[in-house]
Amino acid sequence: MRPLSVDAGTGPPPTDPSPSSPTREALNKVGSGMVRSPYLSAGAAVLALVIIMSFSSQFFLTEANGVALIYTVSIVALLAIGETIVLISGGVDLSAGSVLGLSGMLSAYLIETEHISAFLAIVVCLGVGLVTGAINGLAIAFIRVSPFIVTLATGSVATGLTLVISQGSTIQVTSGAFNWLGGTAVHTIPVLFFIILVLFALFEFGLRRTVVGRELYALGGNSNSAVLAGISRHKIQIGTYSLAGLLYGLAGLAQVGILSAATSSAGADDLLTPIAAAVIGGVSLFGGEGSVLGAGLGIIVIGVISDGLVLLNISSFYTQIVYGVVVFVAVLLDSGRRMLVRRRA
Amino acid sequence: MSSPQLAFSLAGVAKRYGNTRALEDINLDIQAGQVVGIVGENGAGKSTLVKLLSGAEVSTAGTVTVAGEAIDRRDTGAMYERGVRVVYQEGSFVPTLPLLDNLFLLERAKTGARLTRPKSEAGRAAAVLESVGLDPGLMSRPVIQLSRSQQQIAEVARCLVSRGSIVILDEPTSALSQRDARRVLDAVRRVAAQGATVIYISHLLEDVMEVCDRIVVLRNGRLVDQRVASQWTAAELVEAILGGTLELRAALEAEEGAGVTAGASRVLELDGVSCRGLYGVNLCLYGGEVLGIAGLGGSGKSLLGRLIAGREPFAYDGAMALGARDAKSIGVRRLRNMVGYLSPDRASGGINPLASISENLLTGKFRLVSNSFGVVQTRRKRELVTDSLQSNDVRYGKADDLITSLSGGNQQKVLVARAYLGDPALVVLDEPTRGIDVGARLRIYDDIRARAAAGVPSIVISNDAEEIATIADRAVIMRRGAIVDEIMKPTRENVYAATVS
Repeated sequence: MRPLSVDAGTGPPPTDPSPSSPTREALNKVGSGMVRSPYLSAGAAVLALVIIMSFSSQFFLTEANGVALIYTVSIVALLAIGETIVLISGGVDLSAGSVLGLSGMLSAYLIETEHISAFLAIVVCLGVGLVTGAINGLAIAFIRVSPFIVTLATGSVATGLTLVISQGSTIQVTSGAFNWLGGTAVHTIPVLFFIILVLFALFEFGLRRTVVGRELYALGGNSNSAVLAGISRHKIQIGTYSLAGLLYGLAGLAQVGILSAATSSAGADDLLTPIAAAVIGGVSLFGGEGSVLGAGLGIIVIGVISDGLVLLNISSFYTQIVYGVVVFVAVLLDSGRRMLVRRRA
Repeated sequence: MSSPQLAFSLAGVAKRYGNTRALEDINLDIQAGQVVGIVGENGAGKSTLVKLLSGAEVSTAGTVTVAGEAIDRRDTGAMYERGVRVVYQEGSFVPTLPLLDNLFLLERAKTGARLTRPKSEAGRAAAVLESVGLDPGLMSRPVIQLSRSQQQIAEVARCLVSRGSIVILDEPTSALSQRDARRVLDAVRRVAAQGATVIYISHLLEDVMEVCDRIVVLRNGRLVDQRVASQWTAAELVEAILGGTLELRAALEAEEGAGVTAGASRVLELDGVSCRGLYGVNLCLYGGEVLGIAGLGGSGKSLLGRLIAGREPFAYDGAMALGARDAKSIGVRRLRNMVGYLSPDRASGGINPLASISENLLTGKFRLVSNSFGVVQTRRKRELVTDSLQSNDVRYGKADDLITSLSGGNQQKVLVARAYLGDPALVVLDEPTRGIDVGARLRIYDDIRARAAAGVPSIVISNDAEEIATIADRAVIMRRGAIVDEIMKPTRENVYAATVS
């Protein structure tokens, strides 16, 4: 039987081969749901965090805080969607934050010093992401270098280029059209929020219901058997990393819009947060499992924690430690869940 | 008891697994310094015998005596101490480590040494390598840079480094070219000349007859005959392996006639196809036919299957045509959709253990149930899945259950069903019934026959002569990357004889 409280804070659920009684069986069923579905643990964590926070701080449930929370998580959300499809395909992408930085910085530079049109700047911004992603995908698919190494390398180059272009300083962006995505709100709710919701719906549908989406899971679950079944590994990998890159470019655009500026440190803290969000939401680091909705829950967990740390006046120096612990616990729970599923199979 | 020059002695040994008798009443004395060949069909009891000798299993009855001492427990350590070393077909080296480290890896662990002793190790390694006919200079190279025959010989050398006195070799030459095989056989003779005992297990009778002092034949778990090697002829060996009463000659001659394929259309034709691992393969598959490809492990039959199915990079010389079209003009991607394929290894190349039954059935075939935008139509998917699973007699609960909730036989039925989805021009099935129960096996045979009758011809690749005989209308035999024989009316006897001789 599995314990019911599979939320952040408990260890991996112990197995107990106890005899079955009606109650135990009922509990077993609920437990089995927990085991099968990663949503429940992430959802429980979200619920627990929201309850704790609303009692701990009178600010937490205010509109202003809600909007702040949306801004906090929206960038990570865009990165995490890209990261999730990469993880499901059986890869990993460490270039997300760096590509965000470079795409925003290059387009900001071109629009402010070279005076290109806002439209062209947006194309450049998204293009930087797409091209970096395509380079990742091509190297991984054809040269068969480990995704870890490839994306670490491209990420490093991207960060370096950002610093070269900006000379380490911030570039103010005044173009309203360019800043529209990140800087516009309907009443107080950012437009970005709605766009992210649409993206979540699109990607969830795409993964669940399209041929390519199903092939992505097959490749991540057992790449050898997927290839032998006739799936083109090259096509899927190049497509996945490119699409992920495009999303990082979009995140770069949104980030500049939010701040009306491109900073040379943008994305610097986002090396692991998108991966953390995906993993908390039940996306497997080994590929073939998870969903963008799950990653969405993971993003909320991370967002509420970082927001909570601010509201509770805890120094931001502790943020990284808390993230680390949360990710560790999530991975622990995830591998525990996986072991239980395997044992049942 | 046993005299000291006996390396091994088995007296009345039996091994049963539940009701299955793997070995029955085996009496065998093996003298030190001899090379003893053990031959028999798959399932004759060879690997069980190896397990008893290596201590991985303990006999159900009788006594196994090693170096004068009876071993009556499952204890690989005790057997190791008495000098028993097993070299498995797939090898056991760490490919990136230098040969020297590989030679001493186990030895270091056994002695609990904390530091390596490069000088004394290198000295010993050089002596041993030289004694088996390998260049001592190889020891500083990573194993991955060694040729396959060098690796195989080095495996033997490792047994000597760890002072093994009884070396068990499992199919050491079946994946090697003739010239490389000769080098390995030479090394085996050298090892025996130094006083070690070699148990040589192989299907390649030619090699067995060349290298062994004595040849022991197992059949259905019994030791049916043993003679000094010079007293065996190849034909006698085959007869002993398959059962003496068979009219082998008649069976071999029967293959001459036959022409069931006359008039049928050619679905697939290979003309002089060569690539790395294949040499001048000519092959033809006719409409409505089941063609068997038999051969030992490493004979290139799986590679040929993957090449035909477009599951291998399309780099070959010669010509391959599907119907009237050249395969290269079709392109490897389209070919993959036109040829169904079943991988020989269900776990690593077949199922996706994280996905459901229906997902696994449709892997690579989702286009069959999607609209022109690439969106999967739930209703069409459900219909196709239900239809396919039921017509293939898959016993399942819900199509959304994990594939791993099925028995091995039912998992295999799902994968076979997948190979036939989407009207392929032909289907390549590599070891379609490996490791599954008889019921599922017969069901799969029925299926392959019915599909052939309905117009989808199949190529069945198998190690098992009986399987080829059961399912194939016609068979070709592969050895060392080439097709060496064609049999018009395959029987267990003529397929086996052609495979091993």
